[in-house]
Amino acid sequence: MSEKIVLKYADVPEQKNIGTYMKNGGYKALPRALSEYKPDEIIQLVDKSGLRGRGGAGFPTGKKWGFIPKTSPKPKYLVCNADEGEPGTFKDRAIIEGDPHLLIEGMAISSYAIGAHKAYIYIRGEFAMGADILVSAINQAREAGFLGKNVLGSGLDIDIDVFRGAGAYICGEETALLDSLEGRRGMPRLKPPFPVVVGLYASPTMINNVETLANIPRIIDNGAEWFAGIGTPHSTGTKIFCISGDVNKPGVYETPMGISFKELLKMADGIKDGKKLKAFFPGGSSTPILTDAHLNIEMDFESLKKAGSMLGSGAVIVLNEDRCMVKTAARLVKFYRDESCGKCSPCREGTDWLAKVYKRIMDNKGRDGDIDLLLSISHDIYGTTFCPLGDAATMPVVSSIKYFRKEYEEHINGKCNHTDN
Amino acid sequence: MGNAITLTIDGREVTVQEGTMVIEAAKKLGIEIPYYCYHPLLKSVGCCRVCLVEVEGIPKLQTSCTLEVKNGMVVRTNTPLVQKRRKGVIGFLLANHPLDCPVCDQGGECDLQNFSHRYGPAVAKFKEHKRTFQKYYIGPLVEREMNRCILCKRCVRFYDEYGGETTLGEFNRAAETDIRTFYKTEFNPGFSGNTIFLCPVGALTDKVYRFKARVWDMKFITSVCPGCGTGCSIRLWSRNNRILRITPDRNNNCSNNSNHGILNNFLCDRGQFDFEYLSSGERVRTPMIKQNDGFIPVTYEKAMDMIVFRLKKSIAESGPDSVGGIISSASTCEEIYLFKKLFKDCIGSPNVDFRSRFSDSGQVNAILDESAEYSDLPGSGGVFVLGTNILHQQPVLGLYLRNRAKRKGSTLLLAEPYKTGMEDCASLSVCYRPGTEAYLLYGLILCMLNPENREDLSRIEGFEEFRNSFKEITMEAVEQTTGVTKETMEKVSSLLLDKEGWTIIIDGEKESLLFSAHNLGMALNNVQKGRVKSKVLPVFSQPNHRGAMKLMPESCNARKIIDAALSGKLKFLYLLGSDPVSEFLDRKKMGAVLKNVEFIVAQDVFLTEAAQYASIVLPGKAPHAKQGSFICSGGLTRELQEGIKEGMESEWKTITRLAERLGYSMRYDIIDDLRNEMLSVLQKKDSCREKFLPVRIFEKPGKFPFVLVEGKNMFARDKFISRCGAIKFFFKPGVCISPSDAEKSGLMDGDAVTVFNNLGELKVMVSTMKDVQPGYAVMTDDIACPLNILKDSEEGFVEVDIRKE
Ligand SMILES: Cc1cc2nc3c(=O)[nH]c(=O)nc-3n(C[C@H](O)[C@H](O)[C@H](O)COP(=O)(O)O)c2cc1C
Ligand code: SF4
Ligand code: SF4
Ligand code: SF4
Ligand code: FES
Repeated sequence: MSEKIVLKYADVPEQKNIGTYMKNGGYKALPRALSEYKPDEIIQLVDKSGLRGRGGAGFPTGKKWGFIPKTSPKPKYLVCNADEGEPGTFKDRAIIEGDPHLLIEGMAISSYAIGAHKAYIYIRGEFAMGADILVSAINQAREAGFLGKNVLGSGLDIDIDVFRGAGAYICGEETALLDSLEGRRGMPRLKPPFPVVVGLYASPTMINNVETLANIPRIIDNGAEWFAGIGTPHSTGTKIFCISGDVNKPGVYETPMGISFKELLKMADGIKDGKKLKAFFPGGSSTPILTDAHLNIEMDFESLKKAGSMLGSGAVIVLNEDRCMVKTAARLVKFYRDESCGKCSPCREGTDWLAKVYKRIMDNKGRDGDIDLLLSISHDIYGTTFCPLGDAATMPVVSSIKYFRKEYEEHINGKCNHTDN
Repeated sequence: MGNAITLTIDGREVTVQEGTMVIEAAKKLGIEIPYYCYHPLLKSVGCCRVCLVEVEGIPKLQTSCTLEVKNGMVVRTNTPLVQKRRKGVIGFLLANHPLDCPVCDQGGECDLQNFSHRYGPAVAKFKEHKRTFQKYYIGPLVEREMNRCILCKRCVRFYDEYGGETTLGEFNRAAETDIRTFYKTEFNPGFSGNTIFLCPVGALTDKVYRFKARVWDMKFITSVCPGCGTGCSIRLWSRNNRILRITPDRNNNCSNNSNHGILNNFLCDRGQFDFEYLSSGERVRTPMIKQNDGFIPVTYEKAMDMIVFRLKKSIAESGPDSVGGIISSASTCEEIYLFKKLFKDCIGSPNVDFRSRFSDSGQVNAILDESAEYSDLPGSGGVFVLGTNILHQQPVLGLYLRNRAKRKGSTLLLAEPYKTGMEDCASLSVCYRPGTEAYLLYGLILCMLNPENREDLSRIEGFEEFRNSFKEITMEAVEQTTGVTKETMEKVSSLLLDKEGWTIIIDGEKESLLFSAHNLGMALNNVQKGRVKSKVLPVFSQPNHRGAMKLMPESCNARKIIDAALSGKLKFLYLLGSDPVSEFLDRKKMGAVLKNVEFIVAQDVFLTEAAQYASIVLPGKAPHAKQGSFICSGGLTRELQEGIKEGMESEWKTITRLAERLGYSMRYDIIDDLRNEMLSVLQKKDSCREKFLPVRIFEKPGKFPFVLVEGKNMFARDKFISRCGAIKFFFKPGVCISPSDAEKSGLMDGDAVTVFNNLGELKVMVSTMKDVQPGYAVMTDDIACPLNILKDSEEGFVEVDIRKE
């Protein structure tokens, strides 16, 4: 059985009620943090735990917190990134809907650590239920004195507001998120300055993923060594994987970092209908595809990087032997093309171009040279865009061509024989 | 200023200021890096991605427009990888571009064409369907062609960084993104023309110039905009001796104006589109004499003979005092200098002036000599705009101030009688009752009078007299008169004391304001004893007002000239560019005055109203077509050039010929000879003794219910604008009152009314605005609404009544 940290109580009925949450050990970490630790000590603790950001890039959280300028005259903000827009990802939702107080407690502690008095949860617009759950949980926490003015008699004010996005994938990117939160059209901002220095309302701002923040109370409760003991040396703790696609039991699975893909697949009860595995996205649509040759790969930051892919958000999308890879890539390219914010030329024009070529190929109007064209467009996009979305759009293209070039050729020659077309 | 940073670009070392972007450092070495979204006048955004470079130690290519220089940085701008990716990016931009270059007005000066040619892909790989956007109208000056847009967002950023309201934005996402005005409204004319040159492609083009010529068929000459006192550098683009468009002169580093960035960056829409009058059929092109009720053309010789004959006759019969001349402050320094010389030295008459509004004081010039120049602005601790609608009186100066306050965080303090649209970027803005500036400034000085400051101030000559003139007036009275509370005044005065080296901007045509502002600056300097002094910067609607004041400092005679004319003593009057009927106070009287003069010579670009009274009319060269110089409000000498050749004689030549015919030697072959002589007058500086100047206090007469407040509008029509088709309908004359007054008088927006007083009446439309205070009526001088019908004094209160038609 897997070891659950974050989702330990997420299945408990009424866990979203503060009483149940407290009965299960909740709101012990916050008073401890406030009374036993100085803010800096919490940052050190998190650093020691080895916790890395769960939003996709895997940046060490403690280190990131340390970048918040100590002497800025401006207020500091904590922003929880609950935009969860990456195709295939639904792990943050499980936390929000299953154990909202865990996130709230984590945010209160994190606010204390970085010196913020105001925190925001930027939640994906479609998560209407999640937003409602959070709002009522925040109200409960406020009533119980865990949020609001003078939290638990510490003399500190810490409060949280929920802000619903309006449905743009790019608003998951932290700086676009800030623009959106400020009431503007969400588009990535120029870095530097980084949000830790000039973020929300031009003030120092820490942006963390839901899962990252939900780990914080556990680290306070059980200590950094305990946390660092789970997972692998460089990817500590657990990871919530959201498995979708051609498996028997799609869903949310929390396991220690470093579990092999094979085992993960087993947890999801294997490929549906007894078919064979063809390929999978290990961490969401923005991570390069891997194939059945990678069955034994360990699901952690370093191993996936070594294999030429990424852990990303932990969204595992499984494709069986019937899947047409050209169609898969075409579908994703269309997604990125539509979600490009339009700011920079390579992404805006390049994804549009890719999508047009894919559309042609899918309409059986592929031409000789289209594969090279797709690759050359992708190469011109990769590394030249303003934010990583443009790079991400090239991932399914380049990786699917790398492993499945033959399928492209078949397509262009009008001979695709995949049943899903 | 920042430290010096040394870096290496393409193997060559360069040293630049800290904070410089790599793209600028490269430019300094003469290394070209292509760019679209970058513009030196705008903040970097890094969105087009064409300016990529390789930097040692950074794995990813970097955009050089967003990359700050660092010591020891090693940059390569032309490696195979850079070339390849750059090609890729340009290829992306060309992918959906319509390539309709043959019919695009940007052709020849299009960055997409130029950079594609130099750095772009040789063959187009894009073989798909190109996207298209719907067209729509965004206003009379700028044409929008979204299919050509490369989304560099310079136009949007211009409005964000310089504009007042949000005007343009990006709509939709991804490849469907386009640039639109909000809610499909129109561009508000004002500064919209700047988007034309900012747009690197043909997506925003000049509607007036549309399809008129190709850029390579035109030539340009650099000159100065005659539209107001700012003195912006312009390029006059012509083909076949016809001006087709005006652009800012971005490359002009002439004289000493290169470092403050006011004069050669942007233009206002007035300055950019006010040239159509040049080819108007109503131009005076030959000398004419009055015959019966009309004018008939004559030769220059005949006209000159007549003028000389009448001039000599008047002098012989009634003495030199019986002749006089009035010139305009839109005339060049050379014209003004010679005009004065003609009357003073050659004829020996004291009757020569340019002041359309009577004012008399010898102090003004000394104040002007100590006034601020544009170059003081960047180093000033704050800018205090007092009682001028700067965005309309000197639009580009206003634009500059707004950008500095908005983007660079400099302190802007506003005191104004009505909202001017600068409030959003001001640190503090105060609204006072129109006409009470003297009280307000007195109130501010009262706020500063703690015991210590009082001692500093008492030492200044004239301070006690100054105070005495306000003797009876308490703080409460100041509050009541100005409508500004004591707390607000205290806030203003403590802000003033908080920063050193203010630039106090006021309407330089109002003498009492000039004195008040001078007093305030002096008070601040004496109390603060700081390193940087506060200075006054007067602003003017006329391009050469500062020059005219400098060249004709004498206590003025315009009033005497008019009096002499009225009493019949003046026999001969030479009007050069001046139209007393439309410019001088009390219009009705002016008609009578001119009728009384036996012989009037009017030299002007058009047959003005005053010219109707003339016996002889001489043609004047258009300001866009003559040589000469202005001294702009910022104290700099600005040189005019002939944008096109016009057949008539230059005014300065006419004056010299006249003098020669009178037997006075005034021989200059070219304008430069004359300039050297004039320079000695211009360079002479009066120094202003530290002295409080007396300020006149005016009382409301209380005869009519409304106090007239004069507004400003850059498009208000004068003889030039009324003949420029593109912009002549932007300004709609009218009277604006408060909603409560309108309700009281049963008036509604759009009602036809008569505004009247004892002097005369004007029929206009009424509008209401909640920013106008009750009891005030705001009107702007315009050809269809000449306010001198209602005014006989420039300062103090003019009262009117309004009746429904
Ligand atoms: C296009 C794009 C979309 C992203 N979407 C999300 C998202 O939905 N949720 C999220 O937590 N991080 C998202 N990120 C990553 C964030 O920018 C940011 O790195 C993250 O929220 C930091 O949190 P962490 O340090 O806790 O991982 C996205 C990044 C990009 C470039
Ligand atoms: S890469 Fe795409 S999403 Fe990111 S800034 Fe550029 S256009 Fe926008
Ligand atoms: S209209 Fe011109 S200036 Fe504006 S974004 Fe498009 S190309 Fe740039
Ligand atoms: S601000 Fe004045 S000088 Fe400058 S362009 Fe406008 S009218 Fe001409
Ligand atoms: S010029 Fe540098 S990114 Fe556009």
